[in-house]
Amino acid sequence: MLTNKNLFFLIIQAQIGIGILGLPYILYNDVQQDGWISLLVAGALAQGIIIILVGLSRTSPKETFYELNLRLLGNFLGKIVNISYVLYFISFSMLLMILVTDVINTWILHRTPRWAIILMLLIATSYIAKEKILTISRTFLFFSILFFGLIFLLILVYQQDIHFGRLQPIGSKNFMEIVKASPDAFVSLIGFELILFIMPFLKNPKKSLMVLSFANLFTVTLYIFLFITCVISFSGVQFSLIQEPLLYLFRGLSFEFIERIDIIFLSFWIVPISTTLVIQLFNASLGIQKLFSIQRKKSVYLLSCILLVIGLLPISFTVEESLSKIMIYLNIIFVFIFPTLLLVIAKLKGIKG
Amino acid sequence: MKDTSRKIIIILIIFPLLTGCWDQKLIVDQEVMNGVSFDVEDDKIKTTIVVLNIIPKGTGFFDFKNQMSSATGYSLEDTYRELRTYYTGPLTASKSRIILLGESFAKKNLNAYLDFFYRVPDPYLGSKVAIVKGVEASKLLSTKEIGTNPVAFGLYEIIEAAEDNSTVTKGTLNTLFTYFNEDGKDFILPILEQKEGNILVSGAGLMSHNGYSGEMISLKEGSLLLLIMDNYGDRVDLETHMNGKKRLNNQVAYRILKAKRKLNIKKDASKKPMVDIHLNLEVMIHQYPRTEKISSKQLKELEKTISRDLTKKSQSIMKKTQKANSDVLGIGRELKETDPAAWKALDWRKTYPSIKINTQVEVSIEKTGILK
Repeated sequence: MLTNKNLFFLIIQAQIGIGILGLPYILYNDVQQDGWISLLVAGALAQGIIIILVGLSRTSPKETFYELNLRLLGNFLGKIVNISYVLYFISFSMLLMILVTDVINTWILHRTPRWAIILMLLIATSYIAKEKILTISRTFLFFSILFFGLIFLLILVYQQDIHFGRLQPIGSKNFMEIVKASPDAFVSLIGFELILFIMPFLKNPKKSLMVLSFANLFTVTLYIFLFITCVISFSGVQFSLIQEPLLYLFRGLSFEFIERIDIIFLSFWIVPISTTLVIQLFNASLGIQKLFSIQRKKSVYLLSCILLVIGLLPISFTVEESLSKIMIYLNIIFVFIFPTLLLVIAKLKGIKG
Repeated sequence: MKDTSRKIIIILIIFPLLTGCWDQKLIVDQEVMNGVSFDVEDDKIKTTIVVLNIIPKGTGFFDFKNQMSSATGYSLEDTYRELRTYYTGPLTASKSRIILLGESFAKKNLNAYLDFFYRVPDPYLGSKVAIVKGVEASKLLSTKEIGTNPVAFGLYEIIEAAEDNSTVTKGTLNTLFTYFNEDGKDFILPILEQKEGNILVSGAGLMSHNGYSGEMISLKEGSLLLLIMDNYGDRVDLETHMNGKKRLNNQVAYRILKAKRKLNIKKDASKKPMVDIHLNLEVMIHQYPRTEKISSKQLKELEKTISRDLTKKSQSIMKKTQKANSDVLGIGRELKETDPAAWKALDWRKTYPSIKINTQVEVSIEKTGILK
């Protein structure tokens, strides 16, 4: 049974991953120094969705989302929805893997082929994902030490040549533009949909809304802190050029005994990135277990094989770009719109019954 | 038993995968360049690099040898391609200590030329960048050693010391990348000169439009500029002639304990910005021309003299930056941040040399050392 602490770390590990590397860059190119307002807007949006998701899973706390679908929508429709969810998680993981290999290829391992990195990643993640959710959450708890490392390094940046004035003028863009940029930020907050699948494993489901809200608050605060740190350390045109601002921040850090912190940091940061992948694998494997009634362990292996095969496909830069764009909309459909519809259906059925 | 053997087999399979066969770069094979210099020669770039070879001489003793080579070409990469052929292993800039710019090279738009360092993740961005005045930059690199250090390390330390002594601002290749792309703010780079075979940091070169303006702030004025910039190092020492007379042993010297700068931008009648700079200094006297008790009346007198002197000096420094069209204080940036509309209406490059800058330095003596 998952305690509140376990749930908290599961959620933040699911939320924080690869997005953190490039998020400030994307936001800055949209709305410059006002990006933190977009983050706040996205955080509020995420909070709204969390309330909906928790509301939905509370309608029958003993069932996972897949079981709920089958019960509410009937066997046929429910199965279709479940399959599309599994496909969504697979494509999410695929995009994630492509992005990870891209970053690793450009920053550390220039000549290592994509399949090798993906293979390593899948071996590690499936090894964790095949375990019980309690084991997964305990592993994540341990990995969360890395967040302290991140925060510590970010604080070190403040000793460099920074200029707080770069945050000014505040609100130079109009509010609509700022809101329009928030879906980009929202993508990096995705992960809390996990609650739909682990509700039956919670010790006290009543507290889940509060725990999720705190997790979301933590993530949003961390992102805002990161964004502000980036804004005050990079000058305008420079910021709009740097694709991985977080790594570039650390590239400039230099100490007596240790240098090139960016590369050391990235090597460690692969862990939080792969935790996101673990969650995606877990979600998808639950679905496969339900659909084909096979062991969850086996479905994790099956998924890993599928992902590895997809990873072998040559994917060009343009395909990757358009995939990222499509993913933004898919996220909103699968995490927001569909669960909302289902909640309405559940409520209607509840009234009838 | 079966379980253990299975685990061992898994580990044996995984271990070879961990080594990263594709990307191993053995340090033995690498030729690490320590110093790089760029000059302009016949409208081409001349790149000179120094690679340090360490020669072991028994236990604990070693000698070093600088292997120097240069190449000319139309771009950095062009010269780099030629340079690579001089060395036995792959050449990397992952540990270069120092980047020297010849005066004529420094006058170009450096941002465009140095792009190479920022675009790929390998080069080391902690290197110090300096302008070489008087001689070709490559000439400085041909010095074998500075003190007991190999040349690249020696130059690095000289510049670091100049930063601590507040002659120039702290800076590396990395901070340069930030400065290059900052609207409404210019920066300074250390200037190296050769004097009777020795190398020294002779002042701060004023940069304008990402290139060297040709004007420099001398060694003695540098600290005051840094105080006005509100970006000073560990130690700031200044001197003033007593009673304004330039005579032998007539200087009072003082160390800055605390500095507070206020920068106010106002608009004059024709909507042109006007700048008021107010500098408050708390100082400790560490040299007085006479070894005697300084009475409180004398102290008051001294405070006035120093304030007047520094105000005068700061005015002339600001004039110099305006002449060089180098807004090192970031007045334009300040304007951009506080009054975006006014900033957009101005062409800062044309405006800065003609704006009115008032400086006012106020000094209060807090300590007189361990003597009264």
